Amino acid sequence: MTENSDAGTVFRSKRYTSWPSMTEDIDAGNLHAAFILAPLAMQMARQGKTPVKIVHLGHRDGTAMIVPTDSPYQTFADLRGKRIAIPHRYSNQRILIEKLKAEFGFKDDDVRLIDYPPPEMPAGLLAGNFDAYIVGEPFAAKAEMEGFGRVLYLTKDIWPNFISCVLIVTQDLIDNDPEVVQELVTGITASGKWLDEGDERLLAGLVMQDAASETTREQGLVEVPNEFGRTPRMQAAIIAAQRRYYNQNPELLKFVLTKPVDRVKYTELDLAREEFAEIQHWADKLGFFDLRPVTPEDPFGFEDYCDPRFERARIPDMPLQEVEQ
Amino acid sequence: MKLRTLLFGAIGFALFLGFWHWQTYGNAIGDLPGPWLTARGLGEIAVQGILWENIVASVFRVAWGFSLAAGIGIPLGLALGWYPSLRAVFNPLVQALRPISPIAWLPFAVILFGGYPMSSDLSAIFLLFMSAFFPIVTASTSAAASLDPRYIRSASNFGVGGIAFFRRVMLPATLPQILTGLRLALGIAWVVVVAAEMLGVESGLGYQVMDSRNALRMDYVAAAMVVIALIGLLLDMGMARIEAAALARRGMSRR
Amino acid sequence: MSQALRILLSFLAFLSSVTLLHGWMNLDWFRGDGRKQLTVAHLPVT
Repeated sequence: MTENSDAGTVFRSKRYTSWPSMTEDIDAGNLHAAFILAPLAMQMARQGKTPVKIVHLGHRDGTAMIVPTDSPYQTFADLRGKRIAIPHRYSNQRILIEKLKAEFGFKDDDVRLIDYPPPEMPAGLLAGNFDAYIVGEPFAAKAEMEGFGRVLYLTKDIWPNFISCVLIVTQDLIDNDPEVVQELVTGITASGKWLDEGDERLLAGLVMQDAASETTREQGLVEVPNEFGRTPRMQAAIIAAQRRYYNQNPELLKFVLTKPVDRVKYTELDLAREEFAEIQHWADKLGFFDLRPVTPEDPFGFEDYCDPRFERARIPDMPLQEVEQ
Repeated sequence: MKLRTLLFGAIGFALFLGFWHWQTYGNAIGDLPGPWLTARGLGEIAVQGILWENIVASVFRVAWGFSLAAGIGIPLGLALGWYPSLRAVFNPLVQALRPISPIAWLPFAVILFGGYPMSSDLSAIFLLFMSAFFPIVTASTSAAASLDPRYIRSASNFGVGGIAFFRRVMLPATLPQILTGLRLALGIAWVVVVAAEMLGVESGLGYQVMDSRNALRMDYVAAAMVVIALIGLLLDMGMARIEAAALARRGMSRR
Repeated sequence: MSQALRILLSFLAFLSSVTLLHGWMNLDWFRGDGRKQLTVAHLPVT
């Protein structure tokens, strides 16, 4: 799966700095697999410029609504008349806000939504550019860790099993190389299962700090600090913090993955028809498909944007090390 | 004299550093970083090797974009300057395209070069080409158009024409203005590369600015800015030296 | 050799070396890896 496994495809991580550059690269034919906002994926599938299919989820939950620590806000109702920052107009975070507005009986202009770049959100909140923000981790945890923000809601409390980003692949890739899609999907399922249910065996390519030596350094093994411990989540924090993946502070990822542990979930990643129907319903209502409206003559449904066939295969084993090095 | 210039320059830098340090005193990595944090961040990315990869990527893109712009822009500009009818047809177009910020071409560049190998590099090079092309064309056009008629007359009196005229008269006479245009174009290309790399590529100093921002490492952002400034300064000094050398050789030194 | 030619040649040498360097450092040109690769894109946000 990665350079550290000894067989199969090497999946290279390419970290983008904005959604448009990612979708442009997909349309240009440079890119065939991506984790992307769920409604944006639907919108791409609907536009049909480049046929894409959602084949799996990457995680569930992992989004939080943050308000200033010293603010009086206790529920969404207190945000009437306020400004809320969202990551993208085609994000499921926006749909979540719309759902809350309906639930709390807000009129359309009772809150103002502002498109804001996620990395800037903590600073924006501190500067008072808006009164609350909703975003995927680690940019919610950042404000919490720094102390000036507190969680108003974790998605698990308001929309359990929330879907933020989904794995899409191009129809081209499905047609030309279904095996590699299969390998990717089962690989993600396996990693998710290991993250949520794995034991304390280390993943290949890692070594605990106290067992590290000149030789392990020469082999390029990644060291896990002793105080992190060896649970799968802490191993994952160290791996993901690396430059070729998230390139983030390991402490921040540790916070995201453990406070509380069900802040982000990595199981139940299979595509569920009803959940996508709900997202699609809202996306339609908010006009995400205005360029090609959904009508009885030109319908749009689960099969048009999802392809769950790759989820039925046997899950491979993770490349784990023997109990003690 | 030389020492004095250096000294005065250093005073400017020292004043800036002092103000910077004073304003950012006690800041952490996530805040506006001070000079010390920036220097430390610079050391870190230099040791990790990220810095060198990004410098190479940015320099690579600028070098190609600039060479292509010069290779196409100088002949085209000279032709526009030499043939008034050609100039009448194409100069308005060139002047109309010139004010468009190269960054605005980015979405098209991605589509245009999509699917080719190294497509993200190609689209960045295209943007740099666009940014360097117009100053070069404009400088070459005006250089050729304002060629002193006395040169032309005496050349034809001595029966100098064709290639010889181009090499002996046109090129030397237009060189000073073309070199100034090249220097200006290189400066613009270096400014644009950072902006072009903020989208769609995964290397380069501009990418480092955006990516470090996403990683909440403002010290690396500032470190990238320092390196951008230093390389920009070096490029300009290099171009100035070439300019001076070329002019001095032809006895046209401006100093 | 004329000065113009010297400048041109040294610039060409610079251009090709920076290209090779970029290929080596950023594009893995010289890594003869037989394994299949697929690039998966993401943003540093969940």
